[in-house]
Amino acid sequence: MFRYIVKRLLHTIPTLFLLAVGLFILVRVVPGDPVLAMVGENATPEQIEGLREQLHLNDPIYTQFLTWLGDLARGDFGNSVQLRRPVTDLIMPRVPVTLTLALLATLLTVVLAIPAGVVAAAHKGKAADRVALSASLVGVSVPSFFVGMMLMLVFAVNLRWFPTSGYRPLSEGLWTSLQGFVLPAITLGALYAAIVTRMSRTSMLEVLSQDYVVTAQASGFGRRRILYRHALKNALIPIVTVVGLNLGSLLGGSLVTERVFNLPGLGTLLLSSIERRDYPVIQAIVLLVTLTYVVINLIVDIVYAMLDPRVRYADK
Amino acid sequence: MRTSELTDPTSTAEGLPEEEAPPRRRAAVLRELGWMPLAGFAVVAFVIVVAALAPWIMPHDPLVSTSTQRFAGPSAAHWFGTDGYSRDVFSRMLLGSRVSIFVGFVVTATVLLVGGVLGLVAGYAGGLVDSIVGRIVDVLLAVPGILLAIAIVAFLGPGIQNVCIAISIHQLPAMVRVVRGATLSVRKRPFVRAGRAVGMGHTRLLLRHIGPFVLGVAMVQATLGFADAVLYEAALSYLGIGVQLPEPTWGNMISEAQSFLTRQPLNAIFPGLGLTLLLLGVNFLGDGLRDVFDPEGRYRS
Repeated sequence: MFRYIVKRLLHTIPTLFLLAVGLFILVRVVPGDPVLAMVGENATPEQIEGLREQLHLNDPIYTQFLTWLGDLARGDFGNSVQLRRPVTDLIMPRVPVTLTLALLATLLTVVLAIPAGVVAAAHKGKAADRVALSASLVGVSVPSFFVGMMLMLVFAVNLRWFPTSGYRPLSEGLWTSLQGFVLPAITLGALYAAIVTRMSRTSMLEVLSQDYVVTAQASGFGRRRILYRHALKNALIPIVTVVGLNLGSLLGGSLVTERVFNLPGLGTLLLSSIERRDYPVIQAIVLLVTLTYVVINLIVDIVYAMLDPRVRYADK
Repeated sequence: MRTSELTDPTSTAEGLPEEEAPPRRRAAVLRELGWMPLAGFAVVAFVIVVAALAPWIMPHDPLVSTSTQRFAGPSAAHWFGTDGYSRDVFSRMLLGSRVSIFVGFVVTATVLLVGGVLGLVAGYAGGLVDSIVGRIVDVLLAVPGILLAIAIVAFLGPGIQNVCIAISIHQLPAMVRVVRGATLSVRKRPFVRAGRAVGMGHTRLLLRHIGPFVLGVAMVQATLGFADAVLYEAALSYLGIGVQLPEPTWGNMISEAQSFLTRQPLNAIFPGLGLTLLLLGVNFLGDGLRDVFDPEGRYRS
């Protein structure tokens, strides 16, 4: 087990390093002079020179990279050029919003999709299965921002059950705060529920076709007992993996959902930073979200290997 | 494609453990598929024809005001009503369909070509080449979901060309993985070794003999990639960092309509339904193709 963890870690570190190299290079191949873009067209030569100095752009390229990497390692993402504030200060208040949205959407996915997939598999080919499959196909086909807008139209504009947009912090009360997250979480959860439903169904079907299930049936165990006691337990391992892996892409998806409902998360900050061409902020958000994703992947892999010894020995 | 004796699947089918489905089975599968892939194909073909003919069948100029009324509902003159600048929504949707279809095809072709070649070479050559390609794939896969496309557009700037580049890079790793996997599985087959033994060059072997085997799964991946490209273009344009207004795309039309959602929701609903219909069509088609070319899901990424 220890060897497996070390191996996975050793695989992850170069990936992150290469990503940092990629982000570093991207800023330097941006069309036009990024410094000019950042300070605006009316900047004086002194301002431009000052910024070049501040960004260490006059150093040799490898020194620049090492300085940047060193700062990153200390958790220093540099300063926002236009807002003249440390990037960390801009990002930190946004993290809880994005995280809450992603976690609520995951909760919704788990509660809806796993039972739907299991029921569909148990009734393969029957009406319930067809409904679940069709719903999941529609779920992956409707753009999530369109889903969000329609939910907003029906439940916020017409029925007035929820606020149309905006964010209320937890300090204003749990329910007030949660209300603003209901529609965004459904929007984001719908897409992943569709994916997880399909995966759960496939995983369950695979388990149901195995010998021990047939043996259990032959031994006269009840259908329900076989389904929920024996098959589900084994089918859950790959399902949980998919849910875990999706938590990362949920982070990506929440960037879009935040825009629909105007939630002040990392996504809205990323988009406004893109409009401002605020490269240090963009770099930091991409790195932070990716790092989170990579760490989640790593944890999921390790947990998977702990639950299923075959994974550990597979690529020895 | 002309197949030589050596690559004819029926002549090598016997005595090998993992085989392509023989032609007879494929026909049977096609019958089993039913109406869904056909309906999908019909929808996609319809949108492609509409997109191709758009400049000639648009009833109004989509870029200027052609009505006296803003946010008008559907009428005989303006089938889908008018928007906030009293422009014809139907004409704007016709013009916008071109962006979706264009991005879909350009991205699919780019990914098929670049990802196909990288996957073939990595799977066939192995060793160092495989490791390098694998590393690049790992890095690209590390950035979750749409964030990679957003990040690339953030640095390159908006516009249809950069949108195509960003989405292509986002899709590349999946295609490389699928093609590499398929190449690995045919590389050890007798016909490949026989080809080497009779002195065939690597290039010829790859393109003429391994390529056709890999094409099926690559096409399935490409179909799914087409849907993905349409969706991502719409999302990027919706976010305001893709194709820029006033040039209409279904994504930026929805974004423009959001500010006036209470005034005229139809302005968002029509392009949204258009996107949904097109994506459903492509996904129906892709599912069907997958059942034909990859029934056991061996190469799914």
